[in-house]
Amino acid sequence: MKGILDLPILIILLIVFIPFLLVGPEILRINIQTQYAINYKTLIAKDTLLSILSVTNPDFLNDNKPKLTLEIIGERLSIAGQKVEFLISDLDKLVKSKCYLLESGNVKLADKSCSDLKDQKYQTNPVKIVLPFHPKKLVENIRLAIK
Amino acid sequence: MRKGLSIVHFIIFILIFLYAGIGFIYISSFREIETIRKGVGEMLIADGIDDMELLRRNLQQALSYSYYQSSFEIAKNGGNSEASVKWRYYGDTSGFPTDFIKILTSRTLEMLNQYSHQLTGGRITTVDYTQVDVERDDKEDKEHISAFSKDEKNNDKKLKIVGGLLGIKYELENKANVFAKLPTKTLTLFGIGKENFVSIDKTKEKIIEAITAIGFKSNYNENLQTTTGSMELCGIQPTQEQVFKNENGFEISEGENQILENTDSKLNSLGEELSTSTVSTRLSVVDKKSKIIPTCTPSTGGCCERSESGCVKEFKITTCTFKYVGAAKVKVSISDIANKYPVYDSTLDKNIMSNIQLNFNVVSGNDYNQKLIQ
Repeated sequence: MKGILDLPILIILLIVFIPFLLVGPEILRINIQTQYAINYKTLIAKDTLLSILSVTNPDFLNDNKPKLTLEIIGERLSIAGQKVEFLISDLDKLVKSKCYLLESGNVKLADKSCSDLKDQKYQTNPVKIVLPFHPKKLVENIRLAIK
Repeated sequence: MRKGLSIVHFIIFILIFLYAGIGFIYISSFREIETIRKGVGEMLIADGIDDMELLRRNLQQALSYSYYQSSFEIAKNGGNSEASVKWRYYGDTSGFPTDFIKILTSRTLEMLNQYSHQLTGGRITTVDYTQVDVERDDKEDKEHISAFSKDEKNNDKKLKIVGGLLGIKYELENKANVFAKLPTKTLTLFGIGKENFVSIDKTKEKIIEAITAIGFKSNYNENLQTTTGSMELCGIQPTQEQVFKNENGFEISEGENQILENTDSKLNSLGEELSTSTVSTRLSVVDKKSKIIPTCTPSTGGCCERSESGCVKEFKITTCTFKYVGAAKVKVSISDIANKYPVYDSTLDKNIMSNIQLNFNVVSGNDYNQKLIQ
């Protein structure tokens, strides 16, 4: 009798735990897949940003001499404070959706926005770029969002 | 019991199958999860590599900015870190900063380390740099700047990026040493300055040229003109004011007159111009003084002060030798006029695009003993 009484309890417990056992790994899988998707998007955005920063372009501040985009952006942010025209054509070549926003603080360096671009999942974490020497400010954060 | 399974046994049987199924799902799920987890790990590492790449580019650019700023500041002050210096005081050239390269690289190092500290944070650990070297490459017409970070045992220090997620941890390391090839001409500017105002005395040469060019006019005899240091005068022993009242000055290249220009062109095998670089040297006279010291002795012959009616008054001829002495304080500016660099101008308290310009003062004359300007 005793064993028969224990067995139903065991069965009930096992039945109760079945949904948890089934759902548990699924939740973990979804969580990791979400992380993968976010990482993938931010990595693509960062790769794009790194590509943009690494190419050379003519610098209108200095007789259109070719310069690294990283340097041109730094100079514009610290001296001219305006949009960098060629960034749009560079980003157009790299971003298929043609929907992106490259900004530093409130300064929009290149902008072809679409509705939900502000969503965190489309944005890189801010990356630091160096500015021309100034005793009060040496680096600035820039961020690229790509859809 | 033998006839069939009881309901309890049936449920147990089902549950065993169910749990075996769940076990299978678990195994396949965890395999998938592990695969995704590895994928996330690989992406994390790729992200870390991107960060390392960006960090190295930033440090390389920081080295360039530091060298631009150091060149701008040090050249502006004639090789000194603060006030502009006098490279020559007549024959004394001890004002020339023989250690200007050390001053230049020390300031570059100081600023590079400020950048390096600012780039540290989060997953990124940078280093303190210990040495900056600069050397000129005439073939490429560039300056090579190198920054090294060494520990006490002279081993290279490393940049580090650490990160992790979902139980995956990684640590990336890369050498911290960075290099830059820049179109700057800072060493060339100092070389031109040393060659023209320390090794030789260009100011003195210009003063001698200017004095030689003075046309002398006598009040008593129109024919008595000379650019040399001796002449005959009709009757008087002149004072400087009497004889040289309109001629007691001299001109050397004042203001923005350009006296030297160095233009280097590189040609390829077809004779086409590859690059042109121009360095301009300008002299601005800050102060000048001159003096004429006559020594006159009466001669035996006579002469007349003439008018239309003939000889008005008779004099004895006086032979004078004289010495022109001149000195000038000159501000020398030698500029790399072909390139502008982003620098911080402390007088404007903002960043500007500016040429690198070497400024220094020279005080010199054609007779060091006179020292007309102190």
